[in-house]
Amino acid sequence: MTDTVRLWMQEKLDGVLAEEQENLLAEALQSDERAADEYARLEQIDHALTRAPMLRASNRLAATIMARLAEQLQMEAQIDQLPEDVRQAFLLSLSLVSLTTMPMMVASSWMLLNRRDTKALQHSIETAIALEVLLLRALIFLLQEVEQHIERDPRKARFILSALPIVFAGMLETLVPKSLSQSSQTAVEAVEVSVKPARRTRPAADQPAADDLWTQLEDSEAEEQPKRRSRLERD
Amino acid sequence: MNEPDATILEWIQQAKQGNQDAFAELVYNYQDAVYNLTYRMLGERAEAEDAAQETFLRAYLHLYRYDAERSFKTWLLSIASNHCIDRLRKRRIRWLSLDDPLPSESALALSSSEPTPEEWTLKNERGQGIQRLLDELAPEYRAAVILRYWYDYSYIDIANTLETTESAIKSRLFRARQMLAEKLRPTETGHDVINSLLEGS
Repeated sequence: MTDTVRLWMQEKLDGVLAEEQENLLAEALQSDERAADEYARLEQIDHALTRAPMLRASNRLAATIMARLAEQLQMEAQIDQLPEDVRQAFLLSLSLVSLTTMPMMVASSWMLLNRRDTKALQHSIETAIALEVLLLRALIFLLQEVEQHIERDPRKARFILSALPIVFAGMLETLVPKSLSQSSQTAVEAVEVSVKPARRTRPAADQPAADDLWTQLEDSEAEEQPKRRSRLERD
Repeated sequence: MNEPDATILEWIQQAKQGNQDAFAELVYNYQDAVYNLTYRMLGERAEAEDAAQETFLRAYLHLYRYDAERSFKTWLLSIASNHCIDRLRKRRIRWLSLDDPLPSESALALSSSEPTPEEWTLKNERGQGIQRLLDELAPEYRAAVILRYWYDYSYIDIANTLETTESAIKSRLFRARQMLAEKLRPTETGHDVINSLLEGS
């Protein structure tokens, strides 16, 4: 049985088969027992589906829909009535979340793409990701708490708004482990090594300390290169 | 497909301006069409009712997107189909492929919740078997079959409702029928569950 015959079967069931092809289908069904058997089963399915009843909705459905709609509109109206400073608080919170998370995300991705073979950096990335997750969870919790407080008493919005930077600073203080400062320093150094050629084109002439750092980094990079080469040769 | 009539357009216009009574009229007019679709898609009364409610709520909130050139019923059914497909995907059911054995009769039993009069009717008729057949299909195929058979939609109407192409719909209907026909083939033991369900149809 060919795909064309199968297609004709479908089109016949949908009532869109041309008369000429209908005759060809009839011939095919007469000469091919398998095709005839398949068409009989398709017809059985088609008849069963055609005669299946249309179900009616329960009497209460429309009333339930209208009640749900009224409830939803009422909720939206309440949100619309929020005082301007509360709206500002929400917007500021969202912006702060974005501001806190975006650089970390970008830095993590960038480091991952550029220096993924550095062991210390890999450790830093893992730590940064863990910290990111922890921070996000803390932020979600914080926002939920803030929402509840403002819902109970919208006047608290001003206080929360002013306290947010302190809360963020406190969160970072508490959440970032001391061991991270060591590994993040290594990570920063590794990143600086990567961006070094770009920066060297416009060195800060009045910053000898920075120049010294670049020289040190250059030296360490020069030391690492033969090691890498020998590692590669060994492999 | 028929253009929406003047009364329907008037209700839509008023509902757009926030008139809930006008929207209630639309709900009364189309609740059966939407409920039948959600029930046939989801196969369970409580979930179908919830999906129908959600469909109308979404429709109200997005009325401004409705294009008056289009059939309002098709637009509503489009929302309902997409919503049901999303729900079915979330269920994370592994759909039976052609190679899988048929489920046992106990596994095919419907929900144990109290049946409605419609469900009693279905139990006594072929509807139950039909629903079980539909449950075997993947969501996109199921939607195409329902719109073809219960709403008598053409390929192009189904394509518009499901936001896809006419050829995709032809292919879905083709495959869906093939899969269902395959289920009618007697098993090696000679026990043909689906066929027995369709007896009397």
